[in-house]
Amino acid sequence: MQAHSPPETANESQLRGRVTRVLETGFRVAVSIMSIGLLLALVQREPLPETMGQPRELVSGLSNADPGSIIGLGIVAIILTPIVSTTAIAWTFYRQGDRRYATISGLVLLILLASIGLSLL
Amino acid sequence: MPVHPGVHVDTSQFIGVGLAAVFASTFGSMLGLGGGVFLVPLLTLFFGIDPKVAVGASAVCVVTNSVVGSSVHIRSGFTNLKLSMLLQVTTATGAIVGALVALRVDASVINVVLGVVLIYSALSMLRQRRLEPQAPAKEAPDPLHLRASFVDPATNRVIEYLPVRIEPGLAISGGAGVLSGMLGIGGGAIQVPLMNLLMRAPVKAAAGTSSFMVGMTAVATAAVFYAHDQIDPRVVVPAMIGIFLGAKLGSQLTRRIQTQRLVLVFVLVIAYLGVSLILKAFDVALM
Repeated sequence: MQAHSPPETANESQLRGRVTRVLETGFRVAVSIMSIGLLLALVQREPLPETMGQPRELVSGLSNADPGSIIGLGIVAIILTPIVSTTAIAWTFYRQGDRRYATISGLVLLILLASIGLSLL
Repeated sequence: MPVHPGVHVDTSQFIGVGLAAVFASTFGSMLGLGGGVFLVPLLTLFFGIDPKVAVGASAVCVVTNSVVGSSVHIRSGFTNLKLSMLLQVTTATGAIVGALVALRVDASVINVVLGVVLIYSALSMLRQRRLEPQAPAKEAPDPLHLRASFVDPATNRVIEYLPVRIEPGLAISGGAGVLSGMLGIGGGAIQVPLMNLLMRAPVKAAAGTSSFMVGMTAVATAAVFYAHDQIDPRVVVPAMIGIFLGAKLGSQLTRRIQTQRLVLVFVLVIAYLGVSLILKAFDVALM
């Protein structure tokens, strides 16, 4: 006998759908970028770098199609995915008129962004 | 001049790190722990990788595992997104503090703290094994709108619950964040027992919510380690490949094997790793 799914409001359904799409897209994008970098490193017989390089080095390497920098960009993409999903949650709560959780999610987003900002200073 | 002189990754090391990540992620996924709690000691003890590089790699892997696993948990209704946002306020703050502490302390201190956390996790798992099913939520005030429900595929029943003891939960969650930041583990080993034992969320809801939270927590840790050049792609790339494969393998195995029977084996493995790390900090090798 199949159990009936618990009643899910349209708001909950919208929130779950949106977050799931962000997570899946973020993972696909990161894996695609890293695969391109790994393929280039194999073709050019270049060893993997010891560090990802700071943002300026990363941008400079990307403009030269450096395989290590492309791999680094893939790692950055996966690290940023939870931040994008938190943004999606805050935005969805805001659009649904849930001020309390829009504020809480916005605060989480601010803390995450502050952690990145502080670490790059 | 090498940035990480203690890290030498040739082809066999690349494959070895990948296999270690498959192991960590498979068992981590089956137990709802993420995998970082296994990965850091494996990289440190068996590959001689500097604990700070291992913690940096683990943080990226925990994010990967969370991103892959959470989409499944959210779709299944196991993840309580409101509860995750609420607890994440203190957890993410704690993770920043923990990561900053980790970069300033001696590696042996990290080994000892991780060893203690592993032994605590082993004891928590033993306790979880004996847990009775949660009582259904009664008509109780829900000022924070945290009441939720999901269908448990194992019993085909609708499980309703209402998380309680929010204030102590927030405080302990902050402490879990500090440990996560220090050790590069997602914190699932602490968050799952916290939500289940203290806040009365069912194990599956606790694991699903924790799975989503650990990704956000690890972002803060990964950012700090990235800024200090401690994210080494030679370790991260094979580990990420292993984590992805392990997450898939773990979710397949969970359907076929009774996870509770495996808990005893994992408890022994975790306890062994924990004791090994503590002894290593005092230059004593455990066979």
